[in-house]
Amino acid sequence: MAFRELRYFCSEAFKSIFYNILMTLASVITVTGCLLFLGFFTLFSSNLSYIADQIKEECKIVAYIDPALSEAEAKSVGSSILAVPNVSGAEFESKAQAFEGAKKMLGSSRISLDGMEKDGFLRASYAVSCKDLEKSAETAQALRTVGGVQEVKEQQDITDAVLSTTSVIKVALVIAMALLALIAVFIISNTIKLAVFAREKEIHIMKYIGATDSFIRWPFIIEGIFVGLVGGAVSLFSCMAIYGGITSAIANSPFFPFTLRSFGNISGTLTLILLIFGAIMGALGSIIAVRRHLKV
Amino acid sequence: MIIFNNVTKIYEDNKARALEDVSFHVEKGEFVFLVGHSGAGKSSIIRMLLCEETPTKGKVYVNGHDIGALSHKEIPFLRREIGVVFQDFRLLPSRTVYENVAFAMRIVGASTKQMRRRIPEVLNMVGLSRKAKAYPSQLSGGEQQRVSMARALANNPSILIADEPTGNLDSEKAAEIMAILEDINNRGTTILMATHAEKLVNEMHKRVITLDRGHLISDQKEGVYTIGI
Repeated sequence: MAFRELRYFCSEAFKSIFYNILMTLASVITVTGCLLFLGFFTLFSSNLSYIADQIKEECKIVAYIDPALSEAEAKSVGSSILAVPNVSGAEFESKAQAFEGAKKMLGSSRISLDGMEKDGFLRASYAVSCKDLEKSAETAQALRTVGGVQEVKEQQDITDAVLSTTSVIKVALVIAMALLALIAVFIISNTIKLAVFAREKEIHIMKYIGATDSFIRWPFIIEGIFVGLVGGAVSLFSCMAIYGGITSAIANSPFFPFTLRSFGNISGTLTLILLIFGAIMGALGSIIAVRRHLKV
Repeated sequence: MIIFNNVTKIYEDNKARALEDVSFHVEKGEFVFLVGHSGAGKSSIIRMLLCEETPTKGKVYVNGHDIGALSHKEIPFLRREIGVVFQDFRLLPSRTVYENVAFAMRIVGASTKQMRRRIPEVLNMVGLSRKAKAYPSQLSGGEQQRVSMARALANNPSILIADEPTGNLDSEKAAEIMAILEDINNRGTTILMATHAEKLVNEMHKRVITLDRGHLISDQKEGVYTIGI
């Protein structure tokens, strides 16, 4: 496409936007609504993964060390644990630390551990984290064979629940995004149809004079892309404002133990998604709207 | 230049037989009138020449192209070789005379420089040099038809098809349009004009092809309007 043509297509597109300003505005608002949903789905999806990672962090396998081993011997078991495949880290807790932890947990309750320090009824342990949470059962099995390890406890039920919930929600999000995309394409297509209808006579004249389909289509595509991009930009700023409010409210809430991603962390991806998605939907909507009128 | 070889046209939607075994040739530089009552088949011939329709049987060639064999992508390029003038002018009301003509040139990718050179030429040819900045609503019917002719000529077509170009005009304006068409024909453009204007046809002494209910009933070299006589 020559620069001369591009300039002409753009001027035609903006003339049409200007002549149909109210319809364009209505279209931008509805597209913004759709993209706003899309933006929040994206933010939700991203935070879901983020929270799942936080939960996974907590889902560690605990390897209890044989109480017959001295503390130095117990510490030396750590290198064997780290050598087990899929183990990404192992945090040692001595008998004394375990006792302190238990005491702290019981706090001011009526059960008292005073005077029981020397009984050694609590075992030293390693909190083992996995690289791949889905392989935690195999890793736990491998840990049971490590010398010095007396017992291994895994939190398989929690990890399974986290994994299945996140995958179900992700599938639901993809379906919701596809539906939103369809709705937005339909809305843009209908708006452009009005612009096409207003210029139907012009399109017919163009066809008789010898205009190619692409020559007729381009101004409408540019108009659709413009509507999509403006909708994308408005929804991006709206997402930023609303998400900012939500994160600051949640940060002070005692009922939500997780941290959310900062907007800055995700803004690049979100900008790309909303603008590219908006532009693609706009272009698609225009192509659909103008198709019927090209069969002259 | 234009060849109709045993062309039959049956429309699929109403099964109407619009043309029945019609054959004629139009040579380069000819001026041909296409006459006949409404429903005689004139519009079907024009629609085929503009590649809007293809023949059900037979062949139509325009400038050597078999219009039944053209792909959708090839059609615009053939249309650029044909100028077309309609009874209802089909001008863009929101654009000036100059812009209406420029519109046709822009479609074929003409540069601004080419437009600045060609548009005054064609406006001068149709006698509208002083109306370049006027809008169609500011012009008379005859002037609007002249703008439509300027637009049709802008890209130097080898064929000009005029579909009832004087149908909406009084006899004085119609005569002016005919004079311009004759001038265009004298410059070498082939003209095929569908009309009901008996007086104009008889005064011009050009070739007349007469159609009746889809049949070609006469083809006279320096003919007269014979329908209804």
